[in-house]
Amino acid sequence: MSSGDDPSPDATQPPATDETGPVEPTTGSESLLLTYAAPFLGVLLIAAGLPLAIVGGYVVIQDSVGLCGDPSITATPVDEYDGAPETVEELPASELSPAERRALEEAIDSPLREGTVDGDLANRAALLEGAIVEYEGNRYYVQITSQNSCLDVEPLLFPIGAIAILVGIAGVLTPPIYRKMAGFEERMRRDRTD
Amino acid sequence: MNRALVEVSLFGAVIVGCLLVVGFAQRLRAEPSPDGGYATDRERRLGLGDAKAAAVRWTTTTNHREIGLLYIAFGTVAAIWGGIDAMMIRTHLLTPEANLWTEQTYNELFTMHGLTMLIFFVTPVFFGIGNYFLPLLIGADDMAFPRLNAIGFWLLPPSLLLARLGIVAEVTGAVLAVIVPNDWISVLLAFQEPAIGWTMYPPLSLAPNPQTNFLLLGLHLSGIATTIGAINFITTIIYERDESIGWANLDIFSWNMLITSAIVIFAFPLLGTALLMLLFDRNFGTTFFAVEGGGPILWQHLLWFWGHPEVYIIFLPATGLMSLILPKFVGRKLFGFKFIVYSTIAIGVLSFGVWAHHMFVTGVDPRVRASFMATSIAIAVPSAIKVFNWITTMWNGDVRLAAPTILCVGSIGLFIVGGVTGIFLAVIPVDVIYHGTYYVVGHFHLILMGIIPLMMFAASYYWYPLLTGRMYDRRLAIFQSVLLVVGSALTFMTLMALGFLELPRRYATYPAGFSGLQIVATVGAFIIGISVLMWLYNMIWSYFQGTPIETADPWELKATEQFTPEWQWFEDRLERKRGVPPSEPDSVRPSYVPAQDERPLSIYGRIEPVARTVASDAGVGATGGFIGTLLMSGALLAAVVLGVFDLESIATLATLVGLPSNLALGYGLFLIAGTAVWPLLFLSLGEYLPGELTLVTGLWYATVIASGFAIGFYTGQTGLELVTYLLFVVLAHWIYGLGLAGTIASLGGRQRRPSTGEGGNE
Repeated sequence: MSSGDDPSPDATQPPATDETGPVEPTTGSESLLLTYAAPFLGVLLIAAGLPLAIVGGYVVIQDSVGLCGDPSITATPVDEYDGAPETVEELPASELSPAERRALEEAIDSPLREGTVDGDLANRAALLEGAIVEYEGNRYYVQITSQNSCLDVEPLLFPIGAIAILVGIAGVLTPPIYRKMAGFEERMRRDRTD
Repeated sequence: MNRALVEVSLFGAVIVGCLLVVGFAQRLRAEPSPDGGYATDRERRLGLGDAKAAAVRWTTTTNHREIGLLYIAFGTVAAIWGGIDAMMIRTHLLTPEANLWTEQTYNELFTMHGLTMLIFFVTPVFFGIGNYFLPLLIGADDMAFPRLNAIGFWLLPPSLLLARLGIVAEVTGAVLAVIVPNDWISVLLAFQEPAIGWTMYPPLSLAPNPQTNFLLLGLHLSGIATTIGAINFITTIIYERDESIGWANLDIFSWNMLITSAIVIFAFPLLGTALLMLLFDRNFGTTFFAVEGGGPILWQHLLWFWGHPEVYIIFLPATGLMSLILPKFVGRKLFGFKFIVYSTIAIGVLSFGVWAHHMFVTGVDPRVRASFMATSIAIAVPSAIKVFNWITTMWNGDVRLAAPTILCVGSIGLFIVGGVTGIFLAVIPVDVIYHGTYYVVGHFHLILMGIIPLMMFAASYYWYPLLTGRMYDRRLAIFQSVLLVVGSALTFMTLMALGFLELPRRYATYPAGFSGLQIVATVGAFIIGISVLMWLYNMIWSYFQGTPIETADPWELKATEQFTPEWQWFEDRLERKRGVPPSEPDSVRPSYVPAQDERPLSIYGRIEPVARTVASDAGVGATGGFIGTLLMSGALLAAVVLGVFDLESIATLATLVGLPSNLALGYGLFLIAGTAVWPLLFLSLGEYLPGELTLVTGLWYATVIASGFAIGFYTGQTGLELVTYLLFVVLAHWIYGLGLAGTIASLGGRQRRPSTGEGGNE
């Protein structure tokens, strides 16, 4: 964008400025209610509708897409902590549930050291605190990093939010819609007069 | 949910939206006008050769204005990216638990939001504005070192890419994983955006995430770029000024850029050094910030020795813009120019003496704390001098309604709240209580959002005619400015309230009792987001479709002797490029005000057309009613599907006329009523409802009758079901009203009454 690309004047539009300076943005004949108040109300509706729709919509999809309920754990080799603090609980690998074991293996293999517990979390309390697990000769500090809890709100929030957004968009578009309406009725009236 | 894919999708949606606006605006512009059209210079299609030429031109340019535009474009992209982070943070905080994103994702989001906004958005945009306008303001041909200037900019894109390589690698890995075995791309999958907080405090920043190394390198590179830019600004201002411009009449924005650049020179090399030390700690076993070496507190000292001056690096250019722009829209020269310059210099010096107030709670020596408390409070004095001078500049001024005015006044208000709350934080006992709470988040966002981006927006509007030769949509700009101020106040004042309630910051979860205020803050944040998108739309659309300006003085600056050098440059350029200014139109009539007939009507004349219309155009009304009822049925059907509207209520409608309760019969009656009864009432009573247009009257009419429907068809819904039911009732009636009135208007069944006595109908 540069002033080097001088635009050609468009005679179909009103001038933004005249010899005396800028043309005022809002003329006296204009409805302030429809030009500013209605769009403002519209934006408020959109801004309120977005969280409603997001939360309501998420509830609908979270189960079907499997977005909740399975906690994720990390497994970090204890060596990286320069020796484990004595206060950290030791958890024998034999006490891990099959799901926990799978998650531990997944975390050990993962470049991000993360795994998802897809099933019974028998040692929830210990893993929430963080525990040292010796597995296949190596010691890991294993901890739940996210519980991935399920959201519990009314799914009806989704349609309410969606309606609020739609009505809000209509509110934001009120000034141009009003102008179109005015033009439309003007044409109709002119046609009838002719 | 996968954060990376969501973020990239949102980013892509914004970019695609921008491209669509560009395409649509260009297409409209290429279409000839009904009167035969005017030749435009943009009709030719862009070929491969043109694209190549443009790419070469924009990547090799050393022109200060073009580099300035590149800086601004880069900063805007970063702002959108960081803004999406912010929206995702606020979305996460809608619920007390970590439901929508995980805790890890939340930590990544607030880390990268902070760094992206501070490093890659604000400084580049101000450097862009400086690059474009500073040489024009001081009468220089270009920046002192044009090639160095280009290098300074071109270091930024790779630095942003390095800093945010985590998300790029993650998305690339996710896409490649569809066709390539995971083992081959395990390197990509190992990257993860750092979740260590933007302050990168050790020992957390020593955690083994390879992306942290790239982040540090990216930040270091951006620091080099910033330092190069600062050297260029200082040299340009000192050596490239026009002979007529001395220190006494150097414009206030250039003064601010000079002081900002001086701070950069002292602050950023230190950041670079500290970043390298952290990199060495991470990769080469040094112990600068390990407990057995310098300790984590050393990092805090070094970071904040850069970090607090950085606050002023991004704040001072905003105050420079305020001091430059505000006088233009209030018709008075800047009050106390000299004192504003002195205050800027004072801030520049003092900014290096306040860093330890960020560390009051780390247990530094009480005497050190006390001295930093004193300097931190002292720095409020030059800031306050600026505020008082801005207010005095407005005093008795001819304040003009324009987007920059709203942004300036709004900024002053927000900055006062942000600044005063900062003084409290400078006081040790208050800081000890509030340091770890949302109070701090609210305080610094009132400044970081309340004045810095607002002044960027103000500058974009103020100089838009100069940049593009066209005027932006001023109504939309005023609306957008108000939204931005309201959204900022709502969001960050709410965060202050959360802070007063002592809600700790930085946590992904919070007690459920705070959810109400968190939702309010999120709604405010979405208002900010919407307003930013409106600004983006206005800038792009107006570039192609804005009204061409007809004078180099669009803001009447000559009238108040404020026609500053950049506008004089623009005036020369307009004269050289365009020659004779375009002629004025004879008269101007807004296209959205419906023309009205001149014949005044008597009372009889007002009622008679209504009666005649009802009698003669009953068919039109019935048609409208039928169409409206069918459309309304669709909306009600959606409500039935959602389970908030009971069809039984329609079925029982038949019993009102003595028929058995039956759905088909009930709907038949419903259709008849919607076709015959309600349109007739509309045609009779619509005259007495508000609205110049039939369609608006139709909406009012529908709103009125919706209340009766809501009561008549209510079947015991409660709670959210009741809310949804009412929403659908109103929506269905609006659809009915639009269908009814739209059909009547198009078929000419209803004539407007003369609302003001100056119009009427035959």
